[in-house]
Amino acid sequence: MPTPPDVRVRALLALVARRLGLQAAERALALGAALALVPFLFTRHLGLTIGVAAIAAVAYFWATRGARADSAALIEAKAPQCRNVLVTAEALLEGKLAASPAVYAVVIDDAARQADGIAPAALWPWWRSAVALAAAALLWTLVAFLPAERIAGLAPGEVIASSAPVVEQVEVVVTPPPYTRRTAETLRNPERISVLIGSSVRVQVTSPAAAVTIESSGGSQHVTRGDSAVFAGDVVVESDGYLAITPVDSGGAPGPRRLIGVTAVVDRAPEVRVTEPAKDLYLKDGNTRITVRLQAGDDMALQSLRLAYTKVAGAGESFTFTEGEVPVTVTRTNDREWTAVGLLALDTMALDIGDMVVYRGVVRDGRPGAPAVESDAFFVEIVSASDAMAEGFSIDDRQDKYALSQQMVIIKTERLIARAPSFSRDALIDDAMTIAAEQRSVRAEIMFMMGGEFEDEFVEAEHEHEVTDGRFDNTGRADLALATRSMSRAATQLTEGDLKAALASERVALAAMQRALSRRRFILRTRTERNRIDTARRLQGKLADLGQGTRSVEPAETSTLVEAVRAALLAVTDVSRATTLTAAHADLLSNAAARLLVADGRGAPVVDIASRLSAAAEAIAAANAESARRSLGDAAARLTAVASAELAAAPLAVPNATRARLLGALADALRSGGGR
Amino acid sequence: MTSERVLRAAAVLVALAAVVDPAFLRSTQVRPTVVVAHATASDRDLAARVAATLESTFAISRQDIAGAAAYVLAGSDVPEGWRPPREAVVFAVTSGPGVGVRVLDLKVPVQVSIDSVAPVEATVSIDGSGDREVTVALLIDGLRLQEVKARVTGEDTRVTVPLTFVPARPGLARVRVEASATGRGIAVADAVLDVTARVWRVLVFDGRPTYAATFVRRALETDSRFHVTTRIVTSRASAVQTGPAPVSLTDTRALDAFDLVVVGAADALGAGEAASLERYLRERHGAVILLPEGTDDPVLFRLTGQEAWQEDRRAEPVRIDGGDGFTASEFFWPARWPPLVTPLATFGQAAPSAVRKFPVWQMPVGSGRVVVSSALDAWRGRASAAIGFSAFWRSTAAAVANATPPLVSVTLARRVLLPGQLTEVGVLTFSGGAPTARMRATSGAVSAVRLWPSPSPAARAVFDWQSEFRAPDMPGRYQLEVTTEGGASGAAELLVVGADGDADAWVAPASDGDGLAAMAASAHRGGVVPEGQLSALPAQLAAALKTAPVQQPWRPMRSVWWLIPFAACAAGEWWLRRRRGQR
Repeated sequence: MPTPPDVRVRALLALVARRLGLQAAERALALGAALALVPFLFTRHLGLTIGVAAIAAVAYFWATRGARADSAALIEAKAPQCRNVLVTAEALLEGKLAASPAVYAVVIDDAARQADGIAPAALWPWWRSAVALAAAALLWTLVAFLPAERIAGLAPGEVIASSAPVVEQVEVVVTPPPYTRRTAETLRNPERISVLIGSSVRVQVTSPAAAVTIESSGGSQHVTRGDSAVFAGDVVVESDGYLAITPVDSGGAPGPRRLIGVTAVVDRAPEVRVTEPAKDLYLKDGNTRITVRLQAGDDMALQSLRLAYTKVAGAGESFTFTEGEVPVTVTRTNDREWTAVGLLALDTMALDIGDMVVYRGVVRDGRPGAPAVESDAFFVEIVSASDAMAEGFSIDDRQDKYALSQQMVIIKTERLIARAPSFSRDALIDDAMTIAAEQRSVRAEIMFMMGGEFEDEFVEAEHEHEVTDGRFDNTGRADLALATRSMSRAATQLTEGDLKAALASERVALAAMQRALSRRRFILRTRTERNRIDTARRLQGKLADLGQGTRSVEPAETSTLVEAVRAALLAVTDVSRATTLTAAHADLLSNAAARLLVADGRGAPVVDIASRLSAAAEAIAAANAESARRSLGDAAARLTAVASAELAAAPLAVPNATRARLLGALADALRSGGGR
Repeated sequence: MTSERVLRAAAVLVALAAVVDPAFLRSTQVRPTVVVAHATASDRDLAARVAATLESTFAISRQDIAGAAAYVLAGSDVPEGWRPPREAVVFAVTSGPGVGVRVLDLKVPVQVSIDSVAPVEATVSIDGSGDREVTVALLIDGLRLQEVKARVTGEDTRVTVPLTFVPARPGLARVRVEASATGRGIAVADAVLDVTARVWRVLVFDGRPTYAATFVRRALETDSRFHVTTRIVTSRASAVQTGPAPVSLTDTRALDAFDLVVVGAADALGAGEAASLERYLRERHGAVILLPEGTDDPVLFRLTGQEAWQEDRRAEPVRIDGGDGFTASEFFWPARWPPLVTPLATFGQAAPSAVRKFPVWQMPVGSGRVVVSSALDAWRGRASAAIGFSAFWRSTAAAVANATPPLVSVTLARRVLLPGQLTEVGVLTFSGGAPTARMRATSGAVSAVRLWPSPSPAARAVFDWQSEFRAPDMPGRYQLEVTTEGGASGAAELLVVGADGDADAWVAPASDGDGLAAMAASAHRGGVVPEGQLSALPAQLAAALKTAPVQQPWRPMRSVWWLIPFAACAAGEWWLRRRRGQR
């Protein structure tokens, strides 16, 4: 059945309207894409680019809707042979025009015949819109593959993105030494790692690079991509340092380096101490057993704890030393803290008066080859009954009474000072002179014990050789001399009524006397080799050479840490001043960070700074100027703090020659008139 | 008809009057010319407000012109080189004491060794009350290096903020401090700091080996800012020395080469050494540190002028506050303290006696300074307070050595200049003969600068020279080098900035008071007007100027407005004629 004429006319109009709309959409798309190139070139921001494209496209499509609204008119313009019949037919079909049925039918029929001969594809070909779209696509293709450096002049103050390969991800697997019995730990993209010395670190790098170089304090290794998608390298940590991971492209050009600070933690030696009895003991016989308790601790794990002793028997020039070990019961609170208790059975050691047992705790941890650590040694000595009563005191009992007497002098002086306000001057002097007399008697006792002073110069001269022989050159004698002189001074001051000065002198005397008379304990260990005197080197000097000696002094050097901090500050200031950040700036920062990580005396703050510099370098490589400058500002402040701690402050006062001259003249004038 | 005639007559009268152009005398007030000026860039806005306030009453000029009736200075300083005419009235408009944030003072060392850090102190004022936070930032050559937040509470309006500058390279550094607070503007202040590689030359001379001098010497030897030369007299005919030390302190010429002389066991020295050290202090403006041993000491007596001294021994060591602190128990005090003594270390608690005693103190001797350590055995506590003892002596030695001028000292009135800007130079030398000065650019170009003797009297053996020159036209860094006939030399760096205003943006700290502008105002029949009372300035200025009315000719017909009535009359007359049908 033939299609009715009105249907044919409507179909043509609809087809044309649809075609025009689609072509307008295509052109809108092309325009939006072309305009979006501008924000993309300047900002490389995806969101902004899409936004500009969308707005431009929508605006164009909406703005051109009027131009394609009247399909019939557009057809008539392209096909003038229609002679306005399509426009009339459209108006009749839409009811905008009224006509008699016969006229209606004729017009519609004529319009249908014209419509049958019109091909919209010929009037509105797709190639025009397609060309616009293709042009936009071509521009985008060029921009996507154009090197960023070529566009630097269009975008001042920006970062030039680098086309070098980057490190995308770093995974570090830390395996502590086996003796610690600790499990491995995995860290992803760490800025720094803190590991035990001897730990094995496996570095796994994800990067599109052709190869990766891993540098550490122990050397450098070049890792190529094998079967796996990641690069892997192993490093054993023996000291503080860093890991520098540098991706390398197929042409050998390096990309931005990533730095990871490494802090090597030392496995500390264990500690052990005797908690009971924890003092030297003097016993009158050895028929006893002493409980000894030990406490030990370690930062990692303890391996053994024992109680060792040495029996010292004999007298005079003949001593015997017997080593032994006391069985202990160990209580393990955890791997790091142990206690032990043992029984020192003195009754089984056949100890006599004068014999001694020296005991100490011995502990080991898991460090391979590390020596055992011993606690303080204490001893048990078998002494006579009278000496046993002085157990715990370190002053010989015969000299006790002199120290106590001097102490009494001090106490009496203190009491007199406290009562002084209520005394009259005469009464105060009387009491002070009494104390002075006591002080002199104490002094006399000490002098008698020392063998007296030389009252006669002739006698003194006869004993001169003892001075030159150095027999009087010992600290004990010097202290006793100080004590007696202080006592003399105290007595004089008491006589004069200067109680406070006398008290100070009395205390000096007591301290000196106690130093002189106290028992000293020396525990000696014999050396394994003997020192021989090289007679060839004796008495070879010439007196004349003593005239002018020269000291050599090492010039003070600035520490490597300060040098590294200074270099880092220079790098930060130079990079911060640059308006365009390039790969050279990234390298400068990376090198400064590496120098910080190998400086002596660095600590966690310095490692933090190195991490920030490294982050700034990577931000530059990733064309993120804002992040880079933020990291630089942070690093600058931290560098200032570190340098302030290492360097002395300069004098703040401004030298003023005029002021100095005036002050000097004033001082001279005042001095000539007398000081203040 | 009559109307037409009236209108015609009026138009003719206007035309005739315009031709005749009569003149009349009348009394009028002349608008005086007032110059509004400002000294620093920070006062530019204030000057603009002052000009806006005055322009309705006075003729305002922003440039200095001859014959100005009055000057109004915005800010507390006066423009450089400005001198008001004697007859002119001067007013000053100052920023209120509590307006926003201001940087009142900025203290920086003039010179800093590259092996040290520069302490910077900024005193900032902020208006208001209650809890306020001020952010103070330190910028070096335009780069923000440090930021500190300080709190001000209660009714306080000022706070001193310590900052630190770490020099990274030698040369002139421009220090700027920016202070800001929420809701208030930003205040800035600038200063210049010279980073040098100057090393202080120190001579440590021991009359015999002493512990005190040994440990002080070791403290200095470990500091790269000092170059230490030592001579220790070990016996009558023997000594140990480091470097080219003078054989005796009586070698005055050798002493002049040092910035600081540390003398240990001066009791082993004699009157000759004492006289030589005094000459070194007075004529060389040097610094001497005396470490007495508590006995008869001719050097100590002569330099301090005190011959009576007393020993003081304490039973327990006493803590001394100096740096991180150290201890001592044996002291050696003068019976009477010399005049103008400055304490360098004090006791932790007030001494029980009424007279304050200082364990380490300093006094002037001529233009030099002598430091005396009255704490004889402070070196004993060095192990327990190693940082305190050594650090104290390093900082003390640095301060006194820094105060000793170099053999050739060059000072510039301004270090940052615009091309062609004038500045003054001062040169201090310690040797006779005319020094030569020249300006060297980084490109190597050299130009001579003429020096002439200063008219002000100099001390003996000190020679004062001065000069004045204009900054080169090319921006850049320049070195002013001065060399004496004896071979000693000194230099100072200056920075010539671009003419587009970098130096003009130089901001001096706002003075805490009315400043030079107020002084100029009070000396020129003017006054100080706070910014908050700016509206009263025109009246005050008018009252001060007291301009009398003058008789001036007045020509009323010289006004274009007469065209309107003339045209109206002529047009009206024509219209009436035409209505009547006439031509």
